[in-house]
Amino acid sequence: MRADRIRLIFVIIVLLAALIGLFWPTPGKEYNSFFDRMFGNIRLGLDIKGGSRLDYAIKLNEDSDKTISEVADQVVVVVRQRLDSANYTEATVQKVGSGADTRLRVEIPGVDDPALAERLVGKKGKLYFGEILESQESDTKPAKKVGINYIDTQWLKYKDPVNNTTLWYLVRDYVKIGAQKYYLDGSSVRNAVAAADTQRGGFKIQLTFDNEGADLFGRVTSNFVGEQLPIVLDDIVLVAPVVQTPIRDGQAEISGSFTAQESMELAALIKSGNLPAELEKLQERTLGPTLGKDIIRASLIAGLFGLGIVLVYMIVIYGLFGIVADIALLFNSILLFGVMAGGNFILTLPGIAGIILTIGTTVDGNIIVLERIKEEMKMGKTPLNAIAGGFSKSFSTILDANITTVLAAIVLYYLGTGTIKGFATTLIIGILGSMFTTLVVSRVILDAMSGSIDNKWHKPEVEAGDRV
Amino acid sequence: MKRDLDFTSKRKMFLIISAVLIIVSVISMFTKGFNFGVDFAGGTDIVFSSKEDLTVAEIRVKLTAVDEDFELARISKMTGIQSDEEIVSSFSVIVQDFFDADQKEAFINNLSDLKVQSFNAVSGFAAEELKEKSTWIAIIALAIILIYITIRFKFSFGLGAILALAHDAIITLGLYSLFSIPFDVSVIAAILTLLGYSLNDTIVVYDRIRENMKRFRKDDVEKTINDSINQVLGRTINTSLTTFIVVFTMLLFGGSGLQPFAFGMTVGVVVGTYSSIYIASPILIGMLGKKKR
Repeated sequence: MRADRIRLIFVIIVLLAALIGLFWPTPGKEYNSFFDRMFGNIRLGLDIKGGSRLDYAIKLNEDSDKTISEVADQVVVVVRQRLDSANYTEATVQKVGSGADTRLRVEIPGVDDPALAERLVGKKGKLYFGEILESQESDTKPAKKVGINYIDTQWLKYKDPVNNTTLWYLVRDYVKIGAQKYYLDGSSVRNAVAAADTQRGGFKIQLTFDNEGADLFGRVTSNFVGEQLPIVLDDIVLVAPVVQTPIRDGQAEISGSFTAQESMELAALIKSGNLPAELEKLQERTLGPTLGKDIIRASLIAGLFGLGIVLVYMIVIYGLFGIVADIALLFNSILLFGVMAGGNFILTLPGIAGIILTIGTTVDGNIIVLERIKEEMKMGKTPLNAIAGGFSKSFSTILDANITTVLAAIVLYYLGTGTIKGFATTLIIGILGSMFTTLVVSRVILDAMSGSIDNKWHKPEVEAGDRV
Repeated sequence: MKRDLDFTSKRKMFLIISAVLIIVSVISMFTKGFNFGVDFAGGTDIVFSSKEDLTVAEIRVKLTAVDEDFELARISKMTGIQSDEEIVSSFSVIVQDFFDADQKEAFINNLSDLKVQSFNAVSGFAAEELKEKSTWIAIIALAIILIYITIRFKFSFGLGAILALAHDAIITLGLYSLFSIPFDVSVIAAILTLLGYSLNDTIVVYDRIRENMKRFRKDDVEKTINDSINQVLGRTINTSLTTFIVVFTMLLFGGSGLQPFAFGMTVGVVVGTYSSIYIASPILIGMLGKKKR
């Protein structure tokens, strides 16, 4: 009886864990409807909830001595920065693939016209050193200044990472010394690297200018000692360091007790403000929210209707045993959705197909066991012995039948792209879950029921030639 | 209940039926080809919706007025889109051009009363890559399955299972080609699902054959195999029927979005069940028989 107890406790723990995964409210998330409450914790893929996925090939500049993969890392930082500054905060930017096939993938949920985002991703980017006339702390953009002194100025945002405040600088995109305008842009920066700051602690950024830039930078810094010299990328102030001394040798340092991460990102942005490569769009998938809702609704209706018929069918064919299979099926559904929600996996349209296959394998596993138990009972065994025999004999069948599918799904997970990966995800979780529910959950229920099962084949005459 | 249906003695006939189906499928695939979606062919696939009840011809006129390329576009009316009350009719439109950002913006800005519901653009390069990748996935997955079954059973079982899978895949693909069902990335998921399902079916029978061969060593292979099929028949029928119910419901109610997938699954369940009973197991008789007799 010990094994029984352990199984029962295990089943209850798994069920509770799945329910917690499914229903534990995500902080800051609103649950508006019953549907939200049921499935709100599951992350939906862009092919269901609507949104855009853009894939780009990265074309290196001809004189580049770096690999695509290295450049891709810089491109990711730059594009991320651009989308953030345009308030596409839910967008994800990632490097996919490897070697010469490295791609840039941008995913923007919930937008049915990604035109603006697309322009942001593809544009070359503009980095410059400007001049600050005024500054102001505010959450919203201050009013535009007018007047002869404010020609060519605009308010640009700066996020202060230390105090976590938003500063606005009134910036001119050139530096004025006397009546002379000096334009100093990203093309003058030959290199920007992050380095440990041995004097002040933390990290700093070292800038190297080309000859022309060094000359210009020397002239600008000698006129701006003690003042801020902002570095602006795509209308965002990246950093606004105070000039300590005139810098004439083209070697500047920006120190400000940055963290390693901050300094690396800043260096990447300054160096690659002019996007270091051309991006060529390979594919775009955009789904409007209406069509997405229709797809969810259609698959829900189809799924629930199918599930309902299967539940009834099992009871009609197997009677009391059918109810066991039905409970197993519902248990596995909760388990699957719980793992999806708790593990933060993404549900895609092909993923729904994987769930439907899982319904099939769970029912199948139970049918295999039930048929075996029937065979064992026909041999005249007591219900309890028949159940034990049925499970031990179907174990290898269920194992072999499911492991092959899981192996194929793992191949698909590692090699598949985009939404197909979602199919592999639900399939792997669902099939492992179906093995658990069939071999453990159904076992617990059947063992508990064994006392009330009447073996009508008890003490039968075994028919000659009927092999069992 | 005593079952002793004869599945194996007429195996030649079923092998011939399958051979004919496979030949028809292959011919159709190579002559008629597939109704490839943009995933595999490259190009642009746009879903438009309108507040009026338009016909395909009317929508073609409207689109051609904006861009002449739509003269030759593949346009079909979609079903199952109704959650937005304002939308009366929706159309899937496929053109071979790959729209870049500028072309797309110009095009969308010039549409008057049509709303774009989804927009998929795939360059020829990305399409080729997907084809190549799908082929590799299939080869590697099949190789791993073959290795696993060889370890757990015997090589001949593995070979039998792989032949049955190839049989199912070719016939299902042939039906996609014959009936011009749209072939998109979800079809790959359908084919993989049905292969997993059919493999499951085959292994349940094989498992029983393996067990019976150990228990009844004296019996000849054909009788053992036929008995094994009979013993698992109840399970085969019940599992197939339940799965069939689920996918057939999806084919009926799933709307245009799910139909390409549901078609493959519905056909696949039938073909997969047939192949586990009439192809995968009888094929073993030839391979195992030589040693036993």
